[in-house]
Amino acid sequence: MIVNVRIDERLIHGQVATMWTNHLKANRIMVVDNDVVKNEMEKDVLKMAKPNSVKLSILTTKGASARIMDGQYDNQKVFLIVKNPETLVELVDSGVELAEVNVGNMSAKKGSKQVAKSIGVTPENIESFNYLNEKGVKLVAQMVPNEDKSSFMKLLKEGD
Amino acid sequence: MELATWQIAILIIFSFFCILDNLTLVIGMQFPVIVGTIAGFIVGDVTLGLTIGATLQLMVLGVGTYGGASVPDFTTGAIVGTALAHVSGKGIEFALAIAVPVGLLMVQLDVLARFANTFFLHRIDKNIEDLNTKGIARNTVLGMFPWGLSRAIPVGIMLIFGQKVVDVIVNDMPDWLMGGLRVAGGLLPVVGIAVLLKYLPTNKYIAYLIAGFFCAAYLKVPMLGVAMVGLALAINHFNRKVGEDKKAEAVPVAAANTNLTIGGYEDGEYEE
Amino acid sequence: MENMKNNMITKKDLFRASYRWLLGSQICWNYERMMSTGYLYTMLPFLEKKYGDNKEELQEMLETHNQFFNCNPMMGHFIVGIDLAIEEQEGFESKEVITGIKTGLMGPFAGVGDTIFGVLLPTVLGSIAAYMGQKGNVTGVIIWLLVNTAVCIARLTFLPFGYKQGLKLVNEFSDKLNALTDAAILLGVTVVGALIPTVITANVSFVYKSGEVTMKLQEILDQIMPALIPACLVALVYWLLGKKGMTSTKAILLVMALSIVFYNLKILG
Repeated sequence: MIVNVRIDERLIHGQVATMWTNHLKANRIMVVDNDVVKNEMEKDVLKMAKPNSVKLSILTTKGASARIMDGQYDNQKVFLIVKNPETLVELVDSGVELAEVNVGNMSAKKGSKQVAKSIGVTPENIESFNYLNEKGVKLVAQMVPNEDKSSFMKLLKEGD
Repeated sequence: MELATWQIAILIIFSFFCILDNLTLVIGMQFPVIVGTIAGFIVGDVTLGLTIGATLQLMVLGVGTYGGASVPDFTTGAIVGTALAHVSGKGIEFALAIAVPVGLLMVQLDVLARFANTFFLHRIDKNIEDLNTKGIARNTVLGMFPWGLSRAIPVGIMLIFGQKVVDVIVNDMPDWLMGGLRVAGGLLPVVGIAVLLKYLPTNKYIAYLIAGFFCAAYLKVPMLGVAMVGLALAINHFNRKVGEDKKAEAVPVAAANTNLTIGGYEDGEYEE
Repeated sequence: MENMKNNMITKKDLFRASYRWLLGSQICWNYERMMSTGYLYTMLPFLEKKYGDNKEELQEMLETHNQFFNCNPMMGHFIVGIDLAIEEQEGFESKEVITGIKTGLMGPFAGVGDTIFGVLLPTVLGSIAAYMGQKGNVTGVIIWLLVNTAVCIARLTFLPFGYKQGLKLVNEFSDKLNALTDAAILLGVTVVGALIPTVITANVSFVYKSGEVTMKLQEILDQIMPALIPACLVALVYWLLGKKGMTSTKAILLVMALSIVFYNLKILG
């Protein structure tokens, strides 16, 4: 089962690798991104960066949703990490149920708006977030486990 | 045996550069036994500095500033301890009495230096805004001053005023204290060793700990000899593990495929 | 790929970056972003060369490289080398990838680096130097100085190596990483085991006298096991360090206090 979903452009790094994985007691980290799958270098970095005790998956949205829906991870604790909300939209559209999504690091880009210290969203991102929100996915922002959870939709509105 | 002004001056400059070496070249000026020896050389008693440094070294075995933590600075302790012990003429017990408190107090100054550099960090942020690349380089390098002064100033104070304090103490040092400190000198390595064992995953390698102990305690193998034995075992272990890891990697993807109802992986996907 | 701009890094550039990292990686270390300034300082000449004509890109890359970075300084060379290799080819496009690589690699590299250069080398060489030093012999100190100098010189090759290998380095490294760390720890633990009987001096001076019978406690203890007291003391302090609130500083003060007490009780001497 999926114990946590995180949007983090840096995928597996410091805080994520240690704090979150330990806190969640996850035994699998699943990175879903159609571009990373094609990039040997990024994949190698992920293999190196992941904690020893955890298994790693690097999948396309199609592959991930197929396997999740098939129940392949029912007995595991999966920490799902993606780079952007668009990937989550694809997953949700193929039937994957996401209860809560934690928005972590999204760097500033051209045309993006900073809604939090480390979160910058483009108009496309905003559309995706609204879509996920309408589908009933709870969106929060929480950098590290012992921080308070802020409502992401609130941050999004305040940024307007 | 008073310290000449030039000796004090050199020791102060030396302490400034010791911390810088620690951060840059790492020739070894952060290790008490090396620094103690050199300080001993400067004051004219190499053996004194060497033996003081050796005891202090054993207290900081493998203790390091990992991730930016601050640790007792027995390097500075070695410098001041050696210098003032030389002045007192009292030897290693006295040196320890000085070096240990000094080392423990210096931690605060280390913390201060790290904080102080934030000032330069923010100046660099401004340099970036202004695209002032020369400023970036300059402010980075200026960071050496908080570091260096955090050692040089206290050492200077202790050496200049310490000599007078030493005279006072020496006449009043009772045997119960001196003898106790001598014993302490022999026992303090226990702390360095225990700290190191706590930091490493000792449980996993307890067999090797016992093997090392056996070689030295029963077979009386000298340290370098034990190091060689350890190296041999380590190389063996390394080769074995690399072979294991390679085999382990090949298996999972195949295994994961067998209980799938969906079929194989897409191009580039990875799963273990 | 034959584009002049894509092959702009010369041997001189690599050397300059190497010594900038060697000298500058930690010189402005601070709690906020740790080695960020050192990283930026190292990349500065290249960044000016690569993005010089585009003020916006230059500024963004300057900011990017002043972001949080913390790694073992010896291993940092490799990361900068890899970074240069990638940025030279991909330029501004690779900004996010570079950030990902820096943040992804700094952890594991620090793990290996700290274990080998921070723990193993000082432990083994420090033990030998200190053990000899206790006997008044400077040979160990000299050996250590020579080894450190060799490491310092070797470091100058790490960045060019990372640059040349680039992506391959990460691939090959990941296999050997765990094995290397494990082997290093193994060696360290073995040496530390030998240290216990060698450098700890705990002479039990307690003598039991009763009429004609004189028993030296130290002799009895030696019959049980040589260096029994040192071993027990290490075990005791090890156990104490696991207790909440215990720090190495407190342990040092405790040992000193106990030394004074036992000396005066004529148990140790």
